[in-house]
Order: sequence, then structure tokens, then C-alpha cells
Amino acid sequence: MRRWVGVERHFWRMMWRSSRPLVAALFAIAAARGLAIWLMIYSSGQALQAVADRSDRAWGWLVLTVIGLGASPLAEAWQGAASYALQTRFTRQQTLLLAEAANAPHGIGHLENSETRARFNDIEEYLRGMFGVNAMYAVWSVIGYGAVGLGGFAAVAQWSWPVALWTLLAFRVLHATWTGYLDVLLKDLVEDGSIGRRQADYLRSLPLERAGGKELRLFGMTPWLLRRYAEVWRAAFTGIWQRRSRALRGALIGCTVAGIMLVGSYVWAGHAAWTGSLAVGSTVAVLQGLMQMSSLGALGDFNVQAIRARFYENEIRSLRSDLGLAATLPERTGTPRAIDQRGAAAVDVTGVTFTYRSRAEPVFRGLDLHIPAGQSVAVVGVNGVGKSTLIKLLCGLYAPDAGTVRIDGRDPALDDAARRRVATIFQDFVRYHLSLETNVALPLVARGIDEQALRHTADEALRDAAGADVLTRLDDDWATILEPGYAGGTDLSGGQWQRVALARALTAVAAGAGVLVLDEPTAALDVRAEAEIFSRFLEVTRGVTTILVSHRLSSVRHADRIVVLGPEGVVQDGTHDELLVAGGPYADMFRLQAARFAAAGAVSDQNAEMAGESA
Amino acid sequence: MIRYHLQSIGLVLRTSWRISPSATLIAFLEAVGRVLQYLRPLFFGLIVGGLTTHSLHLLVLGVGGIAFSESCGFLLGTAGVQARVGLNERIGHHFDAEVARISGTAATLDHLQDPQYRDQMHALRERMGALGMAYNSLINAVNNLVAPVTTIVVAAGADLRLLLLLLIGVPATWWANRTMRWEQRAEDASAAAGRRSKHFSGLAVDPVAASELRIFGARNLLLRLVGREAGEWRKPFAQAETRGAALSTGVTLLYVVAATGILVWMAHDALHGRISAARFTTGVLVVGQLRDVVGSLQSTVHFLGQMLRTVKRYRWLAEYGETAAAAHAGTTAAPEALHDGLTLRGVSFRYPGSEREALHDLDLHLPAGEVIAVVGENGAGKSTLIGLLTGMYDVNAGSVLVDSTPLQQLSLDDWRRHCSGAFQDHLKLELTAREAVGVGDLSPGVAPAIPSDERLLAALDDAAASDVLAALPDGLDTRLGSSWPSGVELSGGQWQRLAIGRAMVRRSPLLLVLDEPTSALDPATEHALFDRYSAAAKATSRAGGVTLIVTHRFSTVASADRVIVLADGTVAEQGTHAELMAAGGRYAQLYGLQAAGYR
Repeated sequence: MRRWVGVERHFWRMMWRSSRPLVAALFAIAAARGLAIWLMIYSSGQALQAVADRSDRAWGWLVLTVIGLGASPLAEAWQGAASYALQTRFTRQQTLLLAEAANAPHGIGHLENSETRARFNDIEEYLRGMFGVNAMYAVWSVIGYGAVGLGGFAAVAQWSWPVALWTLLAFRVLHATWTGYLDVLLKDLVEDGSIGRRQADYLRSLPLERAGGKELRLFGMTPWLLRRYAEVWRAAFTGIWQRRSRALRGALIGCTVAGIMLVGSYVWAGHAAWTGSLAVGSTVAVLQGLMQMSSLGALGDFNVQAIRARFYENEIRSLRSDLGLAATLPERTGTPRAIDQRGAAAVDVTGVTFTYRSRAEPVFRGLDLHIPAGQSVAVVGVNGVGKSTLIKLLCGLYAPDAGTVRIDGRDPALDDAARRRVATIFQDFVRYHLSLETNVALPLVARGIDEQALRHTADEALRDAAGADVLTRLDDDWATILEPGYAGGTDLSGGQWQRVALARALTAVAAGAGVLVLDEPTAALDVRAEAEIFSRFLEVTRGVTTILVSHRLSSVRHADRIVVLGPEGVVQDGTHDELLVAGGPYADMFRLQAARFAAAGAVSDQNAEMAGESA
Repeated sequence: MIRYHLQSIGLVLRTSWRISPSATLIAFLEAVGRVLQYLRPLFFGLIVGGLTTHSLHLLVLGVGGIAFSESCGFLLGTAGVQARVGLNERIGHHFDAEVARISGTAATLDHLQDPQYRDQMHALRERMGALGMAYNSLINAVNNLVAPVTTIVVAAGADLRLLLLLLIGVPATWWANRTMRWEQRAEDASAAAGRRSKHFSGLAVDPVAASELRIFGARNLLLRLVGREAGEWRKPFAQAETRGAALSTGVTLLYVVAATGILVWMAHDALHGRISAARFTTGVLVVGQLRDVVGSLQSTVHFLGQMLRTVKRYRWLAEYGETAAAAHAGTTAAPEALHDGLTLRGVSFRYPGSEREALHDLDLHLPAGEVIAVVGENGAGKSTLIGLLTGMYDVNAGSVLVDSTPLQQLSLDDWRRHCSGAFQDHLKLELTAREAVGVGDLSPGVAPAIPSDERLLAALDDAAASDVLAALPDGLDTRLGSSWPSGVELSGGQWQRLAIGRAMVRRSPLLLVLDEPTSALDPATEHALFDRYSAAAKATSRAGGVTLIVTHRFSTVASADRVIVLADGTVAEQGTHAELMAAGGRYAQLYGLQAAGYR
């Protein structure tokens, strides 16, 4: 009960916060609906009585009846309009609450936790679904109907309080049964069933996707997928159906009880009318009142939606509170301040141990890595040795279990400004549905720097990232949206995107970052484009500490220093030439890749020169 | 047209009946409850008649009717809802599976690139159970039809003058059309903001995007974007609703004036004893209902329309599937072994909706038993070549021959059973590890099954992916993918090796395609893999199988039996590595470019 009160109070509080005038107006409209119904019932009864008595009083009452009759649909229409206006603000608030919850934590651990992630997805799906975007309409419809029911109640109570209360009781029984039934329906739809249903949805969606279409056909997977879909779906629903039919039994019993009670009310009124203690007009009024009171009973879909609205509003609150956030949005924080340090930054990783929560074995144990400001370092190592983890530690996205990570002496896992000194382009960088300009100059746009000021930087960064042809393809229009689904939008190829992403990191450097981290920056590029980027590598990365992660040892060798990561931490550390001379894993790897060329026959000098020219 | 619509209704009802005859009937009980509800003005008339003429049986009939409608309405409604919800789910499931089947078993990938197909599909796949909702719409249409029909009958029975109010329905129709058009326009106006809003909200929870936003200090920027787009997204709906309310106000006022006129006229007659108080009662009570008649009829049309549109989409897809199947009716079984090899003769191909030919007048012979490398710059047509050889696309001109049989004459299913492959854009199957690899060679027949664990382990070994398996907490039973509570997320390289493992399950395929499957792998793994490819290729070549490797890495290319250089959709050069190097053309140039990095 206390929980229910808490949920309810929170819901109203959030609605109130999203727009006070609209909530107030909606209450006024609901009151008008109740009043209009009562007016219609009462005056129609009086009008009938007058007609039965052949009295001229009928005219006045008739006019009032018509006013009541007309006012109800008017109030209903405006209730709809006002509730959608409120919905706009409410949805905006909910979306922001959710996005801010994902955004606020310093690290990203909460987003990699599948349980938390599922909660985010669940709420997001609701907010964007039919129920979410119509929630306010449903909530206020329920309230509007409540007002109508009270109008009916008043009309009955004018004759007999006991009958009015008895009928109210009957409808409350009905309401309780119905709500209990819907509660079961709901719980299954949103909670217990969700994993199985999501799995089923995943299986059925595979044959619909373009990605994977080749493999799906090559391996003839569809019949198997559909069988699995049917199995998983059935398993997910069998339990739901069982619970639901148990709940139905209760609901039918409740409906029967309420039905019998209602018959009692009608018989009561009928008897009074027959015995003459209730005049004709009053009888009609009372019976109409009884009928309108059904608005206090079951309200079908609206009730379900209104309950859901409360449920999810509370879900948002509890998700936020689990992340240590307040139930309401914080005051505007504005744009982040400019980075207060400049120039290349030193990177110091000292004795770092890090273990993923889902795994038993640590990725690193006592890892040491010190990079003086301005050096370029390549990090190599086999798949799964922790290169990506290292990057995330440098960015302060994870905090180490033991040891320290410092960027120019500051801890990126605590200090947002220190973290922004680390410009990183991840292997699966983000493709923003925004203009080319914002996609390139995101770090500057985020600081609120205006278009004119950042255009030059963006242009330079894109050229340094070998992306001049991207701009050419877009007819030099920086405002082009890089997503084909929007007006004037267009799509870039994987290689073009990679250059845009690289330019983004270079813009961050221009904005004051002192470390440039590149995670496989040329994976989607062909030989020519890769050669073009690395030919300018030294020039572009001058004045910044660079960390390059790549499998292509031909690009790695451009770095001042190469660090080989193994399961035990740093295995080798030195220049390309030193490591080749020293022998060991790096030399083996390099020779392995080089040997493929050697084995295929020596490259003629002439060809190499041609290559050099074209690069 | 009407016939087509009736067929659509028939299709939904037949499906529903097949799934559960009893539920199909019970779902319509709601409508029965509604008939009783809309008879109430009549019951009120009976009551007043009973009281004014002192006729007990009229009174009992009237009160009984109201009491019955009130008490049983809920019972019928509850039973109806239960049946409806259950049917909804099951019909939705049935059609979801059908849609997935149509899409997944269409022989080629053409449909997935066809904008018309994608539009139709988008509407059906947006949410699970779209066709279940179609059934719901049908019930709603019936429910909405019952109300006006009953009301008109009751009104006509009480006093024909009441039907004059239906004339107001004419402007009301215009009103409803207007409102609907505004809603439609709001939907269009909000679409882009809706998509953007969804994209930005998605960025907030996506780990990679969240990382970028934090590093680039763009978290507040994102919040601003989320707030702006969420507001823009719903605003058009609120505006449409406000305009609708304003218009509705006008229409209602008009109606009230007309209703007042009719009621005054009736009251005048009643006061002079020309009509009974009972009829007048029914009249007063039915006036409110008459106002909604037009609206209800329009809702019926609306719901029916919604349902018919959805079903039409489905039928369009079903027909599309049948047409596609008819176009690939080849039944010849694939050969057990290749003798001559695979040949492309004068092949041209253009992707649907694209202006440029991806391949142009291509002649190419892939001799049986060889390991062939295909190189070329981005967009040269390498993946397209693979797509055509595996029948993923139909050639626009020329032919693809398997030995001497045109690919069109072969049963595509059977031909593909003799192929295998791994791709750069491989599927990340978020199933169990056993399933993710085992789908590489499902047993044929009605109940396809995953091969034995030994075969899967051997395939993973061939893919140098045994250590991927070793890192999984529950071995082959591990559920993959972070979408699931107990799921394990893999790195890009791990996913890639599982995909290669999937390609290795089939023994001695006639065509093994490896389309840049090693881009995310480190050199040592790549090296290990290449050695195993060669071994696999030897096994493959015993049955005359062709191994086709597409790669950017020239180190891999060099040891192939033959190298094909594609440029601008045609063969620029071909021959052995040594021959091409000696020729000093495009290949030698690109090779030199990469080799330079290792000297």
C-alpha cells in the first residue's frame, strides 16, 4: 500500500513538473465533464417529469439538458487536446530522464551490464511504443471517466445514499477484479516474459535483416531459425497463458458478484418507481445515474495504459536511483569548460590490475606503461590480450582495481577534464545522424563553438585524415546529413566513414587533447587509402602523444616505439629496429607478415618505386 | 477490389479459426454486450411507458434490460478481451513466422535491396505481431459497427424526426476526414524527428557511443539533442489534436443547435399529447448516441482500413515470395564433384536501384580444384562476384555455369548445400556457441538439426578458434551476446573466428568463399588460419572444389594458385602471382605498395 502511494505520488509529481498549467487545465476539464453529466442527468429527469405532467417547466429543463449534452463531448475533445500537449512535455521529460541516467555516470560500466542495459531498453521501448506516447491520454481519460462516474453518483445520491453507495461498492468490486486481472496480464507482458520474448523476437528478425542474408541463404538457416522461433515463443507464452487463464477465473467470479449487486440496485430503483416513492422523472435520472457510475468500474484499455504509465515512470525513478541519481532532472549544466591544459600529455600506467565483473581472470596484473609527452607508441598483441581494455582504462571509462592511470598526472577515471585530453577513435566508432560538420567537429560543437570558428579546424582535420574526397563527394556541403533516411541525407562507404571518424579525433586534438588513441584506424580502408594516411602520420601527430593499436605491422613500424602486450603484461618494448634485432614475439610476427611477401618472390625495385610515387 | 478485401478478411478469420475456433467466437461476444448497451434508450422508454401506463411487465422489461446489459456486459467483455488478447498473440506469431519465412527463403537477396519491399516489410516488422493487431482491428471494426446500427434502429423506432440529426453527420464526416488527415500529416511531420530522437537516445545507452561522448565532452550536447528532438517528435501530434478539438467544438455546437430544435419539436408534441412520454424519453436519451453514429461508422471504416492495409502488405509480400520462388524454379541437383569448374560468361550485374554496373561483361573461368585469390580496390566488384556465384543475385546478362550447367537450372538450395563461406560482415549470432557454429551445416529435412559436437570442435580447430571456445565459461553451451542476462560478449576477432568456424563445418564444399574474413585478426592468427585454409582447400580440391579468397592482404594472395585482379567491374589482370609481378601492372603496383611496409 505504501509502495503504491509512493508510485502514485511520484507519478503526479513528474506530471506536475512537466507542465503545471496543463495539469491544472486538465483537472478543470475533468471537473467540467462530471458537472456536465450530472446536469444532463438531473435536467433530463426534470424535463421528462414536466412533459409527463404536461407542464411548461419542460422548456427550461430541456435547455439545461441540451447544455449538459453538448458540454460533455466538448470537454472530452479539449481533454484530448490538452492531454496530448501534456504528452509532448511529459515524453520529452521522460526521454531526458532516461538519457541523462545513461549519460551521468563517469564510466560506462552500467551500460555494459546486461541487466541494466535491458532495463534501459525496456523503458525506451515502452516510451516509444503505442502505450508510451498515448499514456497521458489514457491517464486523463480514466480521470475524466471518474468525474463522469461521480456525476452519476451525485444523481443517484440525491435520491438514496444507500443505493448510491451500494452501487459504488459494486463498481469498486468490478474495478478491483478487473485491475487484478490486468495486473497479471501486464506483469507477464512487461516483466517475466520479456527475456523469452526478446529471444523469440531476435530469432524471427534474423531472416528479415539485410546483414547476414548471405550466410542465412548459404547455410539454409531459415527453416531451422523458424523452428527455434516457434519453440522459444511457445515456451515464453505457455506460462503466460496459464497464469492468465487462472486470473480470468477470478475476474469472471468478480464480474458475476458485481453483476448481481448491480441487479440489486436496479431492482431497488424499479421497485421504488413502481410503488410510487420515486417519480417518473426521478426514476429516469436515477437509472441514468446508475448507468453513468459504470465509469467508476472497469475501463479496459485506458486503465491498463494508465497503470503502465505509472509502472514505467516508477521504473525510470528506480533505475535512476540504482545509478545514484535523483528522481528529477538536474538544473542545466551548460557546455563543458575548455580543457585547461595544452600540448602533448604524458601517459603513466602504474601497477594496474583490472578484472571484468563477468570474468574470473584479470585482464592485467600489475601493468606498467609510461609514455613521455609527444612520443608515438604502437601497441600490438594477439586478439583478446586486452588492447581495447587498455584504451578504455586510459580514457577513464573503467577504473582499475589496483594501480593508477594518469594523464599528465591526473586521473581520467575521476577527472572529466583529464579524460578529454585523450582523443580516441574506437574501432567501431559512431556514425552520428548529423551533418558532416558535426560528425567531424563534434568535440568543438560540444563546446558550443560557432560554425565559422570551427569550419577551418574541421576542414584541416578532414584533409589530414585523407578525407578530402569525402567533402568532394558531398559537393563541399558541410551541412549534409550523413544518413540517407533524412531529407538531403546521404550515406558514406565504410572507408569514407573511417576517415570522418579519424578527422573527429584530430579535431579533438585541435580542441586541446594531448593524447591521440587510434584503434585499428585503417581496418576498412584499401591499400591506397591506408598508405595515404600513414604517409602523413608523423606530420599529423606532431605535438601530441600518439597510441596506435593495429594488426598491420607495416603501419605499426611508423611509431617511435612499439609495445608488445602479452597475457603477462608488457612483453617487449622498443623501436621497430631494436625489436627486430632483439628477436622475440614482435620480430616473429613481423617476419611472419613480411615472409608472405618474401615467399611470393622479391618485389622488384621498380615496382617499389612506383608504389612510393603513388603513395 | 471488394473481392480482394473480402479475401483479406477471410484470410484473417480463417487463420484465427484454425488457431482456436472457440476463441474466435468468444472474441465477438464483446459486440453482443455492445448491442445491449446501445439498446438502453429503448429500455428507458419502456420504463417510462410502464410507469405512465401502470404496466408492470413493461417496467420489468425495461429495468431488466438495463440491469442485464449492465451486469452481463462486463462478463461478456472480460471473456471477449481474454479471447482477443490470446488470439492476437497467436495470430501475430503465425504471421510473423510467415513473414520471416518469406523473407528468409526468398532465393536471392534482391528483395532486401528493393525499396518497395523494404517499405512493406518495415511496416510489418516495426513491432512483433502486426498482423495480430490486424485481427484486433477487425474486432474493433465490428464493435464500432454495432453501435451506430443499434442506435439508428432505436431512434427510428422512437421517432423518425430524430434521424434528421444524421444530416449533421455530413459536416461531421468532413470534420473526421480533416482530423484524420491532420493526424496523418502529424505522423509524417514527426517521422524524421522521431527517428533522430530514437537515434540520439540510443547513443546514450550504447557503450561505444557513450565512450565517445565522454571523451569528446559531448554528453551535454547529446542531452540537448535528445531534448530538442523528443519535443519536436511529439509536437505535431499535439498540434493536430488541438486543431481537431477546435473543429470538433464547431461541429458539436452545430449539433447541439440541431438537437435542441428536434427535441423542442418533440417536446411540443409530447406536451400536446401527440407522442407519448415514453417515446420522448427514448428520444432524449438517444440524441447523445446519435451524435456518435457518424464517428462510429468512421471508426469502423478506419479500423477496417487499418486491418486491410496490414493484410494487404502481408499478401503483397506473400505474392512477392511466390513470384521470386517461381523465378528460381531450377530443380537439377548440384553435382557431387566439379570437373571443369565454375564459369562466368559475359556477366553484367547492377544492384537494384543503383545506376552503376557492379560487374560489366565479365568472362571468367575458375578451374576445379584451385585456390583463387581475388583482389581489387574498394568497389571493384569482389563481393558481387561472390554473390553471383552463390546465387545471391541474378545476373542481368550472361550466365554463371557450374561445370556446364547454368546456375538457374540448378536447385539453388542444393547448390548452396555444396557451398560454404565466411564474410567480413558476418552474422553475430546471439545464440549458444553450439548453435552459432552448428548452423554451418544443418541436416537437411523437415527437422534440421545441429551436427555433433565432435564436428563442431573440429571445425573450430580448422578456424583457429579453439581458444575462443576455451575462453567461454560454459563451452559450447555458452550463450553469446550481451543482449542476454547470462550472455557473454565477444570481441570483433572472436566473432570473426566463430564465423570462420561456421564456414568450416561443411566438409569438402564445391565452392568455399572467404570474403575478407580475417580483417579483425592479428597476424599470428591470420597466419595460422591461412595454413589451415590451404589444408582445407586441398581437401576441397579433391572433389574439384574451388576456394575463392577475397582479401586486401597481398601476403595471403601470393600463395594462391591463381590471382584475379578486378577493377571497375571487370577483370583487369589474372594469372599466377609470379606472372602478374612480371607483368608489372596494377597488381604489381598494389603489391609493392603493401610490401614496402615490410622492407
